[in-house]
Amino acid sequence: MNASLLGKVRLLLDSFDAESGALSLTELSRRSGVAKATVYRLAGEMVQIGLLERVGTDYRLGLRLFELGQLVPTQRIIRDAAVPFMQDLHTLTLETVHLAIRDGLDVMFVEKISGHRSARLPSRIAGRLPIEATATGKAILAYSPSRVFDEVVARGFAPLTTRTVASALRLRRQLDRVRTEGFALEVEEVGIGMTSIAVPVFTGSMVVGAVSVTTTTSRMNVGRVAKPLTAAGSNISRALRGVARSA
Amino acid sequence: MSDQEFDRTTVLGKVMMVLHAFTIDDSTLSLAELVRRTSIPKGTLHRVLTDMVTVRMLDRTDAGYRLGGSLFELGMRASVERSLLEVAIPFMEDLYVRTHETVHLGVLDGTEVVYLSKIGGHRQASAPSRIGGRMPVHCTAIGKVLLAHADKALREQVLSAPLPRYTPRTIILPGPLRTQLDRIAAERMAYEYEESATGIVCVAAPVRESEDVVAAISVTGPSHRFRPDNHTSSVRAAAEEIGATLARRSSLLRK
Repeated sequence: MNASLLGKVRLLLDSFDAESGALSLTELSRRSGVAKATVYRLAGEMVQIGLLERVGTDYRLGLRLFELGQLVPTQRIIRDAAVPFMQDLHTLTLETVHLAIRDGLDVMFVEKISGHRSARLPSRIAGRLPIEATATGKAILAYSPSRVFDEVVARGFAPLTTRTVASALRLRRQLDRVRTEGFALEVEEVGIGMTSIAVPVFTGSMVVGAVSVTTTTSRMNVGRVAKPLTAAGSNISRALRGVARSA
Repeated sequence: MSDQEFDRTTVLGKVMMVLHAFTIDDSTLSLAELVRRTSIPKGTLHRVLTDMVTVRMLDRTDAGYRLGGSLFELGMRASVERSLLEVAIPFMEDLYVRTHETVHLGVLDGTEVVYLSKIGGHRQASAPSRIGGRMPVHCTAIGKVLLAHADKALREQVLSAPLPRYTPRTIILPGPLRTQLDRIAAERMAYEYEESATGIVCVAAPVRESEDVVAAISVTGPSHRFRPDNHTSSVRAAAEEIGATLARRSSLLRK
């Protein structure tokens, strides 16, 4: 009984995605599959404790969740270690810099730094994309256990554009190249006209995320970006090693 | 985190007590430690914890329990849904490039400031703030600027309660604080001179969406190299531009 109550709370929380904004009672019920009367009662309780907030007659995720989320050590430690180096990259390139981690077979963007002169991108913090299509995902995959690669192949490929990698063979070649060059290059596999370069970030020998620089394909200068990006990747990994040691 | 009391007779109340037992310094907490911190009886607590692991609010480890990674993602969504963060970041980056000091974005929650973002580079001042952290309103520039623009009831609530001292320069008397808040409301700028931490100074401006103050932005630096009053105009300009962008976005969304 209690578990199912908490299960419903979880379903309501998961009804919000990076794009959803505030949701109405009806929409919450539709997305979560929880009956409307129950949503009404539960959402009221969740507002009281700060998990949700009311916006007019709609609901949105509460500020208290943001605070709790910032206490989760793993993601916070990676983000805090990476941000200063991401700022350096942004200052140098003026382009959008992302930090992504792997969650299942997706990458999730944990941080995004962009300025007014950066190319416009639809990516959002806490947004997700299939791991194999993105530069950050390829950088992570290249250094992940081979079972993750197998799971991607088993799941199948999601064509985001006509250029998205769509076969195990081509993905394997891309990942081999990442390991040779030390960075992942993704050309228009996520959005036509856009190109990203990414490098992996490690804690010790384990890959924990990736940092990327994204811009328009015409503006991307791989030669100019790859070197400072690779340096940033090593510096973040070094900073994370320091944290791990002092913890 | 805030000292809100949760109803321990409900499942959700107990869940919140468990979540709030974790602090920034905790990675994993044992069952015994969670019993101590929540005062929930061991048998009951164990059932609650098991349910929380099932729904991924907590992860079970050899040493005990830790906050689930999915909470981080939910938390980021909670901030992104405010649009505020995504609108503000490019302006915060501009301010950082201009000042090379730490830039904060904060919102009011109860009588405290919650920091949504902190951008500081490598040489950031060791301010006692962190993303997702809270600070009192009476001793920080962001807090004072938000309080000065808050409704009268909140202002009176803060002024009539004790004002805890953090440094020798914290304003702990309601009279001087009231005078300062009036001036801040008129000037639409607030300054902090070592009132929350020794060696730290700060300048803040309110972010207005139409008529409402929805957040505040600040630049913080060490007192030996940073002069807050030299940065008044750039902080104010950034706050105004964020507000104008927010207003444009919401008028587009209404159409």
